[in-house]
Amino acid sequence: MIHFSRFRLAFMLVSLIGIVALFLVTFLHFGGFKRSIQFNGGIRFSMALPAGIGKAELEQGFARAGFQPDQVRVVDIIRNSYDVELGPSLRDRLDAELKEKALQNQAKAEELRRAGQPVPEELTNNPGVLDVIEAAVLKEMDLEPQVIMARETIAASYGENLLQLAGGLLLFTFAGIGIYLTFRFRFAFALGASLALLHDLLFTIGFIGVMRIEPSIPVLAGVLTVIGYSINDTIVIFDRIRETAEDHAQQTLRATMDLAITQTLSRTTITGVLTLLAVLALLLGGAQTLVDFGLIIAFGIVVGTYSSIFIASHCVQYYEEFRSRVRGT
Amino acid sequence: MIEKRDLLWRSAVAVLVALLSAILLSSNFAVQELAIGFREYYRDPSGARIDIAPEEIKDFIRDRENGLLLYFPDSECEPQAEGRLSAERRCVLRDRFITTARINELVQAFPGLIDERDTRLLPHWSERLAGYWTEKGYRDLRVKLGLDLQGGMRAVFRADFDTYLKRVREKNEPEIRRIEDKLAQADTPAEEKDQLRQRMEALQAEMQLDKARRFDLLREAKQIIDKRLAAQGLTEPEVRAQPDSDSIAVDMPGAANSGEVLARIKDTTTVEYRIVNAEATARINSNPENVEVIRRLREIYASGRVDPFEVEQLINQAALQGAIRPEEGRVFLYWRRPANQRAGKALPSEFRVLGPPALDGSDMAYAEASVNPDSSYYMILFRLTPAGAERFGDLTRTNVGKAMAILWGDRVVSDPNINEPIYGGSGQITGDFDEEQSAEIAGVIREGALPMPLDAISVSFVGPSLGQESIVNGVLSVILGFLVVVLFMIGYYKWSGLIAVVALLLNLVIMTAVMSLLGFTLTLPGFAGAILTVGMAVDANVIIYEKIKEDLRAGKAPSLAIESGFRSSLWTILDSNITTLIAAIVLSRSEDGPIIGFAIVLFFGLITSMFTALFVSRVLFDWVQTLTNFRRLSIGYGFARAEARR
Repeated sequence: MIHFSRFRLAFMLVSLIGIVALFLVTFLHFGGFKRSIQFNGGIRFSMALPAGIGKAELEQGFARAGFQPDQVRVVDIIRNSYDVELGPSLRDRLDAELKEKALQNQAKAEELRRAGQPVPEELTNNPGVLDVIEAAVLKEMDLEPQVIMARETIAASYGENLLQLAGGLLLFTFAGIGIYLTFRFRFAFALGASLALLHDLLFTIGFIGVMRIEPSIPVLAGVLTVIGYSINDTIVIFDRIRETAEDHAQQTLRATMDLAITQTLSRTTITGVLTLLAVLALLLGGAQTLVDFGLIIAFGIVVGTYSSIFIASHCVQYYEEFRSRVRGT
Repeated sequence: MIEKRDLLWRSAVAVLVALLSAILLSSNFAVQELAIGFREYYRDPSGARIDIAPEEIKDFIRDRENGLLLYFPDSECEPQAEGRLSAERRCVLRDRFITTARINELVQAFPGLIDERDTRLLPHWSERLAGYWTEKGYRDLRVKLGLDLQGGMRAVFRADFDTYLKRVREKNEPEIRRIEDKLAQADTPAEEKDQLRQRMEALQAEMQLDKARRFDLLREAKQIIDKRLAAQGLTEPEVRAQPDSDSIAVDMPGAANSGEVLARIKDTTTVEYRIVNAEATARINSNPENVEVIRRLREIYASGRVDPFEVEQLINQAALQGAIRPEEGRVFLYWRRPANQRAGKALPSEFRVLGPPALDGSDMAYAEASVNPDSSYYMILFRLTPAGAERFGDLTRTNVGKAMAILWGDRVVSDPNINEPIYGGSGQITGDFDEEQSAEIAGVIREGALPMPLDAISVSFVGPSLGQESIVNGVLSVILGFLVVVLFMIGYYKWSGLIAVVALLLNLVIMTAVMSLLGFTLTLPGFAGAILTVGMAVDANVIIYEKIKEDLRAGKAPSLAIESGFRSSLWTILDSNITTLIAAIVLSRSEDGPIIGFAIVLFFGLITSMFTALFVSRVLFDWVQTLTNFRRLSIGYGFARAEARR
């Protein structure tokens, strides 16, 4: 039997510090979560290219002009046409630069006007973000303006309310799980499982922030998968704790828990390692969405396994001790 | 001891489930038949009719450069008549892996030649079987691929703000005139005047379309489109507002019958209340020539193939013959079902001349379908918003004795007389509705109508958002991940591991079958997620096997260890899965497509994995036991080989 409970305070502190650190780095160092076309909108150019220029050249052309495209996709093979999409960070950065420049130009133009001098056209004619990108790319790739079939500012396809909504749903999830576990076990266990779930969720979200993963639907799916895994993992151990408690009624809660965790340790590691192996293969996938998805789940499995062993049951212990102390006084 | 008869029964159940799943998946690998229907004529932009000669169709079918063979090079389209279409106007081709994207591409490339309504994949026998009891007679079982894997259709809609303005003006005008009158009156108290001025400003603001307001309207339209696509069962579409050009782009993965979906997206159908102009209505209906027009209209609608251009012409003709002046109102058709015949189809039966809309779906806060106790039809109960309730009260008070028409789209569905003013803000819509229709109307009121009409300005095809290379690599990596799990299980648990792997594969087959039955759209992360769910399903086997090993170590005989391993793991597996199921159920109550999709996969994945781990692998274990005569159990390392002491 391994005496996990001896170090429970250390585990709690490690987790707390870990979560706080991830969020601090996300917000202080990176200035928040990364943004994406799906959630924040962006820019799209539709282009029909002359023969001989393909997807790779187009991607390189944009990159050389200083605008790394988020996505380039083939629209029509016969007409050799493509969609190039640029993300929100680029759009906002350019927008801010251009606005500042426009203000300067305006000031200059005003000065000239006051002095009674003619105002040159480039001071009053301020280009927009789309114009700037188009001009730079066409020049870089040596193309005619006709290749641009359409250019659009695109709004977000999933609103910010998706995240609020997900938050609301999580509350209901906690409530549902809480009720079931209170009914099947005791309230203390419901609390422990919910806290372990919250722990994994916060860690995973912090990880997304620090790893600069762009929010997207696959990312959301990854987080939801972690939730499923985390719950599953915790309950298996809780079940064994209950069984052990029935067999060894005279033991203390701490001893019972240590014994149950030790007994299930082989299962916990095997399942964890197995799922992790399957996920690690995804990291070789090549497609960015798959790599992001794999990274989140791989991290979630590690954290989920950690919290099942080191956090969930110790939360139950703390709560039970707190309750008996309250009852004792 | 294992009872032979019991075991045979359990095996039969497992085999039956596997067989059923295989049948559900069979249509994906079968040779498919695509029926293509050709038009008899099309209309050029000016509305003139241009006939299509059979020779033109024949040439098109054989054309390798610019016709059908460019899209389906390996197959020949054989002429085949069906129903209304002669063999000259319909042909059937056979090919494998005909995706909806390919069909859409073909149809959209020749909109004037190919009739989309008659162009569809003919159902496979398994699809007829799965949908035998449905109205269509079959159920689509082919696995659909998402935008990232297969690409899809991008439709761009431009918001028609001119019509929007016209409609808002038409709706606000009476109120503005009333306010102006009141403001002009000297005896209106100053306090009320202030209120009226504020209201006037609000009305005027509604008619001012600056950039921010247009963007708001676009976003409102976008949300409604999202809801509509979700109601169509189209998972994972991407809808985006494009404020620069006042348009909305809708990307849809492999939508079948693109025309139907496009029509549904830009459907502006809503419920409206308009006051009937009784005098003009009597005039237009009593005109003997118009009786003939109605007869013609009934014919058109009864045939099921409606040419909107022709209908509009006929209505204009009727208005002219009835000498209806524009200021008297607009002419609509009043639809009735044949008397005393519930099954009969509703058809236009009379004209109605109606004033401007007095109230519409946006004034209603909630609606639901209900049985009408006074007739054999259904009705819709609704509750109005506070502002709508006030307007409805005013409307009914000032029009007592007149008839009030209720419109569903451009159809007058009923026109009850107003006997007394109606206050209180709730009401009902009656008409010859059947259950389905009443549910549809209630649904549209709840979802909300589009704030403005949308014009489809372009329909194009977008390639997969992932490159070919990433798709191949992605799929390979997912398979690799799965293989790792398989090898580990067999390496660690030996023959017992093989049983777990068999259960796992079966789980994958059942899950895919359920997904195709539900019409799910498969994306690359979705694929990875499904495999991962299967990977996690191994967990149930791991729990059972570790328990069996524990018992073997404690000296139990293999058959007893298996028995107690499965029994004591049952509640552990149920508890952990039920808790996760609760999470899945909560998530599926969300309003957002992607979250619902995930929850559904999780839900069915959990149920099928419980079935395979607890039921199927037990059946396999019992067979192995029976065949090896309870002698030994191969379940990997960790203890000396367990030789049974019988």
